Amino acid sequence: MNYFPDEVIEHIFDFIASHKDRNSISLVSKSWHKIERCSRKRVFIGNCYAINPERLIERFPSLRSLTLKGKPHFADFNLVPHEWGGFVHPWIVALAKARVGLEELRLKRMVVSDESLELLSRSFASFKSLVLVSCEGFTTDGLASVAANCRHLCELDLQENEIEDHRGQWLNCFPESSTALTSLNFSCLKGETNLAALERLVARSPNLESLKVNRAVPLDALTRLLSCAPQLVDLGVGSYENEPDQESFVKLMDAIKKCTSLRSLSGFSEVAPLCLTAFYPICQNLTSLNLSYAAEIQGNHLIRFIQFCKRLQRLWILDSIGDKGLEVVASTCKELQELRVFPSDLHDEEDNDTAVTEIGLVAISAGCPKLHSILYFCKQMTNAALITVAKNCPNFIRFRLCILEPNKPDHTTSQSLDEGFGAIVQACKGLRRLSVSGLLTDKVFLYIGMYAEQLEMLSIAFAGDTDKGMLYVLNGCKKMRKLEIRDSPFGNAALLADVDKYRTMRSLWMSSCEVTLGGCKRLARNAPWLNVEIINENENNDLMMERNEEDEREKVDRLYLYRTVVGARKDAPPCVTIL
Amino acid sequence: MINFEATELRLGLPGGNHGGDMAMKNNGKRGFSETVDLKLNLSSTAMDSDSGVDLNTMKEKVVKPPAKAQVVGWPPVRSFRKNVMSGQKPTTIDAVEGTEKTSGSNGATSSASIGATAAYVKVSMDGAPYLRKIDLKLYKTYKDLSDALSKMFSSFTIGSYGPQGMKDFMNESKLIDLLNGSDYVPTYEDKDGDWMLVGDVPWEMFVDSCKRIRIMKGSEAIGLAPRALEKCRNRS
Repeated sequence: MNYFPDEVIEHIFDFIASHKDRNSISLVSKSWHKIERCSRKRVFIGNCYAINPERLIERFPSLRSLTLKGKPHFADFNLVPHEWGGFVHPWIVALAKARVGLEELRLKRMVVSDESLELLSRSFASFKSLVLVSCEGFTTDGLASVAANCRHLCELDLQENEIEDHRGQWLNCFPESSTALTSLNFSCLKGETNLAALERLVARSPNLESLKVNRAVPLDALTRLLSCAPQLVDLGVGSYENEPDQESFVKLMDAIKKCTSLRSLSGFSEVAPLCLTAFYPICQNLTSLNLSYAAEIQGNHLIRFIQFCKRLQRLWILDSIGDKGLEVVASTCKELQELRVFPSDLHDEEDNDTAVTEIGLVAISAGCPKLHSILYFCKQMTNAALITVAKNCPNFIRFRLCILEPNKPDHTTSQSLDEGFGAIVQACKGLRRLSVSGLLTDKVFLYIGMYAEQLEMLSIAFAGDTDKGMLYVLNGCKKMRKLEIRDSPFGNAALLADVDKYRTMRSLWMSSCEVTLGGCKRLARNAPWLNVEIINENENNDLMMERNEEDEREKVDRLYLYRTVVGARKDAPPCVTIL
Repeated sequence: MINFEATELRLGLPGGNHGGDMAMKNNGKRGFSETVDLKLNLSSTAMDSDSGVDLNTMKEKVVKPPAKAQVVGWPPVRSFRKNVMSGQKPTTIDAVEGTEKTSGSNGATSSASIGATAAYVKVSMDGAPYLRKIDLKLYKTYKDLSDALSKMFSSFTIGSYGPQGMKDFMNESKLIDLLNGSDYVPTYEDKDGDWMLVGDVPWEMFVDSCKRIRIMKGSEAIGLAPRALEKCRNRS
């Protein structure tokens, strides 16, 4: 390879897309490092505080696509204060200043302001794609600037963001000359939608493949939209509480029949059963179906629908489908790769015997040979079932089981679920992500440390007995990147045993555990390349630092630590102390 | 050093230290019967300290979970999803509008205003094939509401409102005209279960007391007229 000119090597590198591979390439030699970094177009930053924008731009001058993640995962469950951080603005400012030819920006759990969006829209002439997932801090005014100013916008994908809806005319802001849209998702907007503007936009976007509307788009509007976009591949519908009349129903079904390219269906925040049947004509083409917001559809309607969906690869559904429903899925959906079953009853108010149990899980594992990812909320589980699942499905990459009641044992034997999860990690040699629940002792972590060689992300809640549990994991799982623990009895001994381990990890989260302020301080002293953040909403920054030796023994409510090359961040709010 | 034998994974043998190969089916039952035996032993003999300790350990294993209502962030379901499912307005974050601090701390959002719950009401229109749900808190005046309603049911004519929007109801003669015509008129059911014409009361009071909205033909709303007319007379 030494005799090839740089251009040839660069051309070869063009074929290597995966971030991990490109990172490896850059370590081979100085010249490869240089060629790689100068030609690198897409960069993924899993923790926006691990590096700063200036260094990013310095290293990758040809940057076109940037992915940034901000808040830790448990922010999804209200465990992180809203003002914690993760602001995208400094990134946009820096990229604009350096005149980076940014074309794509993908953000997850970050704080985005209207000002940021405005700056973004004006600074990058070739900007094509904006994807925001679980972000917050902006309004439809920000969307209006993106629509108005990004002449080449192809993709605007807003997933589960908190957006203040000013019910302005942001859809009107797409200029008439804008015809390049391929993907538009505004399903998370809460307010009314200008239907006329939307219809005109869709009508002049012949390349539109993905359209996900919000709940305010009624049936007749949907029918019109489908009529002028029969080429759609991915559709998210609104909310249709009432049964449609005969005429509307027929029109809708006719429009749907013409959508022969449709492969993915979602939305349905409320849907009368009859509306669902309008989609029967395209069921057999569907590879992805998300009915997990349709709280009011009963199991039998769901089952009737799914019976037609023989090609499904991905299914997100509510537990109202029941074990019987999952048995139908198992016998119908032989191509199924990913299943998510969400709880419909979040407060455990009803004694719901139509919810799912270990029976449904076993049925799925037996019927769907290609299954590799599962997220399963249920009320009960047994070791026997998990052992059977492990035997049936050794190919799991992601296995997330959430038993709704913390510390719940195997309901037939009253034992812990150590053996069940142990079977999973032993059989699934490619397992990369695992969430455990139910009654668990240190033993399950021994199994995880021993067998889960590829494990990168582990979520633990209400589990374990002693520090040994956490130590088994830290010592055993060589590829661990993200470890998040809540309400488990792990303390300083585990935290401090192997400080260098955190060099190989992206982050560690511990909340309501046994670590103390003293332990965290010691860690911070021994590892200056870590940011050790203590989050304590009830306390003032200054108060914390003034404490004497005694208070070092006080338990830390929330600890979040992550490796970084740029030291302590300067935008932390008062409730966050960086040691 | 790990004693491998002790840690060897023996599938299907929850608890206990049994050797060899046992059919999975029996193990569950054996485990359970052991539990039962333990309890019986304790009750039939005098307090045997060993059994006592075992029982306590067993108890600890099957610990009572914390009361569900008190566990923050559990079950691990995204707040976004929780809010959609319960039909509530998600916590609103005040939008950052140029609140940049020069020191580099950017766009700090103020904490979520959890107090602002939504005021969702169903809106039906006579003859329309569907209902809509709207959040009254999204609007600030009757005019806003009127604009929104006419967009929602745009395929039907609601009839013209004057530039004042619903304040036209304040004018007696216009009111009578409206009720005689075939145009549509928005009415609402209030907290007491009474049906009123929209526009009767100050906006905030309306938002607080409105339970649902029905857009009906003017001629049908005649029955509500007397009260509205009386109010008009009282005001003028």
